[in-house]
Amino acid sequence: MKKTIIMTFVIGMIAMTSAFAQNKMDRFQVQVDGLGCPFCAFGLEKKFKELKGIKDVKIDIETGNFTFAYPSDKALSMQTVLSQVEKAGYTPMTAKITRADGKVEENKENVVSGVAGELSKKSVMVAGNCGMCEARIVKAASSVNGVSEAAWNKDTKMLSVSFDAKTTNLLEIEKAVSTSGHDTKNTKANAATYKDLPGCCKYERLQ
Amino acid sequence: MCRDLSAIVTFRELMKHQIWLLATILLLTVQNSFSQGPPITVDAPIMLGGKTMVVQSLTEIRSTNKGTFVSIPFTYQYLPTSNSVISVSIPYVNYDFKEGYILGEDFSHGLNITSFIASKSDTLNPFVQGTNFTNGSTLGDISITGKYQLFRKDGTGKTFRIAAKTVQTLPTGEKLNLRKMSTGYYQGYVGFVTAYESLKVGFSNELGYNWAPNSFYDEFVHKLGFGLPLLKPTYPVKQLNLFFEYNGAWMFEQGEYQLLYGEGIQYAKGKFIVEAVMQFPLIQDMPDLEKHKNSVFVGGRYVF
Repeated sequence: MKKTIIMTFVIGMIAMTSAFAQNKMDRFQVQVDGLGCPFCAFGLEKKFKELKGIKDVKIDIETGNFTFAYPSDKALSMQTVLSQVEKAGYTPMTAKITRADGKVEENKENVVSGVAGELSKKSVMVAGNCGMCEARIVKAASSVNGVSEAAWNKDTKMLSVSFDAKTTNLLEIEKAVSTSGHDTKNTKANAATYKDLPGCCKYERLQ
Repeated sequence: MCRDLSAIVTFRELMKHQIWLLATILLLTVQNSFSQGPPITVDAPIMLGGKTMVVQSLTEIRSTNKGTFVSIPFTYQYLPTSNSVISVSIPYVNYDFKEGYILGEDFSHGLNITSFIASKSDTLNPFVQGTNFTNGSTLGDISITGKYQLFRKDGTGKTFRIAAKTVQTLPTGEKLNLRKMSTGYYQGYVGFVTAYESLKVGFSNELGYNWAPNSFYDEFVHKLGFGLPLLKPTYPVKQLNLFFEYNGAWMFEQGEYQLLYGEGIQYAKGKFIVEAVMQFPLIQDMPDLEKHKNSVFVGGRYVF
């Protein structure tokens, strides 16, 4: 009986330690250009699997979003991630690392680092249709100096952004998005830019 | 043997029709095309990452006016970097020439020796020496291919790439006068392969020149391919694609031109690809004996 209790305790400790260690993963999100076909994604994943310990690899062909987790104790740097994408034969655009301790790093010159809770979070309506629209909208919003995070929901048409209020504001972000061809609540895309959008992205224009 | 200026004029007229045909096909496919897998009988620039290997075999069963021929190549492809690829193809060729014909060597040109298939009546020609090669099998012409990416422009869900390509065909096969199978002559090819692939449309294009210093296999080559995926592109790969591919060759020294059109189907899942193409001639400005009836391609690939 005593042996059973001790064994159960030891196994429980090992399991808890393992679970605790698994939580110490940095999360990576990279916007990759050049994924024109599903086999292209194979080449990208194969290149990153050279990094031992990589997990949860996901590639969205339509948006070019590439996400994965990597052990925090191995301290994978931004430069290594961008270099690995280049070596795979593709072009890294925006990249974001959310470290296990909550710190956020980005590859833009306007890096907004620090704990996510200190940033302003706002939402605004942006017109669009599909996954390609999502990639374009997020790319345009992320290009604004001071924006740390941007996500667009194609069902609700809402763009959620986190940004440093001392550096930029929501209207500047909307202007950047409309420049890419998408109407927002307070700004309107140029007619010529809208006309150049692919057929599937021709959303119904806002009044 | 060589044609006069009228052959070149005829060629220009033929090209005019070809351009209209290609433009029509392009218009029909652009509206509904999505990203697709690698083309089958035409080439594409480098799309896989570095340190990738591909093993492939694409059997061709070629039916012509002079007989039926089968080529079963084993191809190994290696990408040392994301910008370069090298491959070697070793074909096994089975040949069955029609009865009543013999394979001869024509010395009448006074310049180079060439092999051709002749009727028995040609044996009266003092310049023709015949050899009976009615049927059998042989190792074909081994080829070594190298590609290097010169240009790349990426966008979200799309890419445009240009690669330089060379193919060295070794004279390892018997002199059966079977182009791209077994000729027994050295040939060197240089060309450029371009491709635009996006989630809405994709096509590949190749232009090159094949140099055959000791024979009459010199030719200008033009290939064009369009892919039409039937399923939404996903990763991991699960695709069913249709292909429409053109293979054109202008054998200018002999004044011959051939344009072949193939329709293919390809299924890809994970790292496996299986594919088949039915190819038939659109234009054949060449001796009747050399004309193709049709070709069937069947094969598969595995990506490491």
